[in-house]
Amino acid sequence: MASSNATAATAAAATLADSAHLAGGESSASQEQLDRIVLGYLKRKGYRLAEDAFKREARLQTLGELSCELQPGADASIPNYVLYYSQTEQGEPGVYRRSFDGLRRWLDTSLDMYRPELRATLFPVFAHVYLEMLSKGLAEEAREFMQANRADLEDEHPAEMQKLGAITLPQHLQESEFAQMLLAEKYNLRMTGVALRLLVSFLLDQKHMLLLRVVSQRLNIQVAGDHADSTGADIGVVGQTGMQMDGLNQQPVQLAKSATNAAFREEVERALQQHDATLKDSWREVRRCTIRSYRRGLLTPLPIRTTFDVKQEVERIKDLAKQIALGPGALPSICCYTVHNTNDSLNCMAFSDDLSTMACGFSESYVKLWSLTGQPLRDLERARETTDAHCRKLIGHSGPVFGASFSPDGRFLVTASEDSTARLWSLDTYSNVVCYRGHNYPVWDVEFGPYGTYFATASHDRTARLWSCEHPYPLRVFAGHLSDVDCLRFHPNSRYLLTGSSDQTVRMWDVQHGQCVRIFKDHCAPVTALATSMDGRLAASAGADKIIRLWDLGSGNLIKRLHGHEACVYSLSFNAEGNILCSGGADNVVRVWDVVRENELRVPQRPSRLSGKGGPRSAVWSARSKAQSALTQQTILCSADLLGSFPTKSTPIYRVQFTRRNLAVVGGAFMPHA
Amino acid sequence: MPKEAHVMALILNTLGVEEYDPKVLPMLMEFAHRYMTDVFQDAQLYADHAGKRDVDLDDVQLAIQGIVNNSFTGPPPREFLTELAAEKNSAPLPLIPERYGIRLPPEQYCLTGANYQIVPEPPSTEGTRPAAGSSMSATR
Repeated sequence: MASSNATAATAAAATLADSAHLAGGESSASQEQLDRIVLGYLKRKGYRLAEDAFKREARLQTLGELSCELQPGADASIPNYVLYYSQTEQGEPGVYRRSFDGLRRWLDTSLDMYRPELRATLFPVFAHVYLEMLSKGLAEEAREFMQANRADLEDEHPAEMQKLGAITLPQHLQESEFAQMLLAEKYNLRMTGVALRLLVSFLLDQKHMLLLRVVSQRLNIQVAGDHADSTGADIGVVGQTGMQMDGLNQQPVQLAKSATNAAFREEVERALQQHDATLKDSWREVRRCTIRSYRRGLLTPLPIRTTFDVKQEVERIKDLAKQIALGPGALPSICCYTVHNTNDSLNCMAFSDDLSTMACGFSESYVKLWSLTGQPLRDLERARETTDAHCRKLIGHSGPVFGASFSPDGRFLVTASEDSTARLWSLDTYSNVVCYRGHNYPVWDVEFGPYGTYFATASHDRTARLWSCEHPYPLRVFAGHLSDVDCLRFHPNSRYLLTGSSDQTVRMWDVQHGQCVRIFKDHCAPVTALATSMDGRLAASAGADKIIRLWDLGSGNLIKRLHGHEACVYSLSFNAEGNILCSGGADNVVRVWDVVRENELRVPQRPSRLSGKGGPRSAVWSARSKAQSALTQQTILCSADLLGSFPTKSTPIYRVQFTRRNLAVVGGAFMPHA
Repeated sequence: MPKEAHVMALILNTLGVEEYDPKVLPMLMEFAHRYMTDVFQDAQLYADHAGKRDVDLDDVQLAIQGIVNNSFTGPPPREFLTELAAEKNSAPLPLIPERYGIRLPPEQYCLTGANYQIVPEPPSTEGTRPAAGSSMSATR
């Protein structure tokens, strides 16, 4: 109805305009006057729609509208702002520093969800502000500016910061290839719409017009849909992609295991002789892949080996002989432990190495231990009492327990909690032995080192810390993550620590020096699970973005992405040979992956809904571009290296762990109505 | 859905949070309610202290400042943490002493002390006699 009315009105207007044109003659009535006459006519007649359409068409503006648009106080457009403020700001040199510091502070306190995306703007903005200061001849201020921010940005852009640091005088601008490239090309970034809105509204609110100008002139921000996914798009200046991390990720690392000392080897060999001579061969095999010598002073001090360790080593070698060879044709047996009636208060699970005990951390501040062997949990202190307790409650924390880990010898348990402490429990007496304070914020994860004695914690205070059982204070602080550290894993040789964070990166730290030696960037959501392979060469990480990523620790490169999970991944584990990866998460499915195989996306593996119309539909799906289809939720594709999916009834998998004999043990809490 | 919950959902939506546990909404509302109550109680106190009859904008602002400074502290800034880390990490890792047995920190940092409890004296339950106090008075 309305539209037909409008067309009628426009037709009427057209005839009117024609007639006016004829009547008035071409000389006297200019086009604009004519337009106004028509507009007046439409207004009188009440043809609202036609009037609007005509206004748009003729681009007529009343004076009021015009002034309103130019007024900076109202919802004026960004270019006008820049016009107004760049004049006033350019007067003083301090404004560069001030506004950049403002931006950095804001980024540090911004929402976790968007911080990584927002933080990506920091380097290009810094670079352009720096270059601009130089081009204005403010060499002294520029030097101070560089000094103040260098340390902060060097982690992520070591090579670029070095190049920028070399430019110190206005004359260098012409000579430096890097500066010319930065000035000539726009810097590409990807961001979600919300993040971009946050950034622009911050810059507008705080009247950082200088930065706003840099952002609008120098950056080319592409708005991505759901996730700012770094895949598929060039980030940074064209031609510079992928160069960012090179400097850092090329530091040498030693990933092999350290050799055991001769006395210990002899002890073990003697013990093996008593048990079974054939085992000696597999023991030699194990030793072959260790390296003999390290540069002195680099090695993490390790505890001396005792007779207890000899016994353990013998057990380990026996297990090795019984190990089941796994591969694409031989999938692991998976044993699932389900905890019932938790009322959603179970936070974490851990299994001891010999699979005799399971520890669960609850929101109600206690830890519960279950015996998995059927043997009652005996308390040495009350050895005379014959109990048949298969479950024990450890009370001591004053906040939800978020992490638990058994020591390799199975005699201790360490737990991490919201009350910002880690606690060490003796499993001989089932009592709290030590309380480690050092973090000031909730501790999210904890793990014992592969040789015992050391353990590490990850916390909301954006650091991970290394502790020794013998010291009540932390020995190392690993600072550098931009948000909470959510999970951590020791490298199997105990010299490195991997941490995954809400800032969507995984970092590898040198334990002895406390420095970051690798940054792995590819995730587009917080990292919640990590695993390292026993040979120490590979790591896997996964998180809320549902895609598992496989990394080569030596080169720092991404090996492949494993698509298939439909919800956040909570836990990952490699088998003993490192050719199978097992994962579990919020989608109630345990998945088994082939680590070795090259992967390409293939048609979905969930035939339940699609089997009816398999052929043509799947052809369409596989034809879609990789990045696009991976992001849309309805069309989750599985990569070819998914060997098997094992759904549970309704149990999110909190923990996946391979035993030394290659049995996969998983655990979770049953969610009745989810 | 009550109006407040709807508003909360809208706030979450504008920040780009589309998926969340249904328990999140009541939690946030509870938080908002507690926060508002705290602010207004503090503001009332400040107003009383200043001898004003009604709470005004200044009181509320002061109350908000007081609460924000105390309860919404984020982790320390990155520079501070890296400085702290550099200081801490400059010392080499301490050697592990060659001794046997379990490795624990010095006694005073452990919770291994003798664990005793005072057993309350059991109330005398001899026959049907009343409690000690009344029996005393009875004998007197």
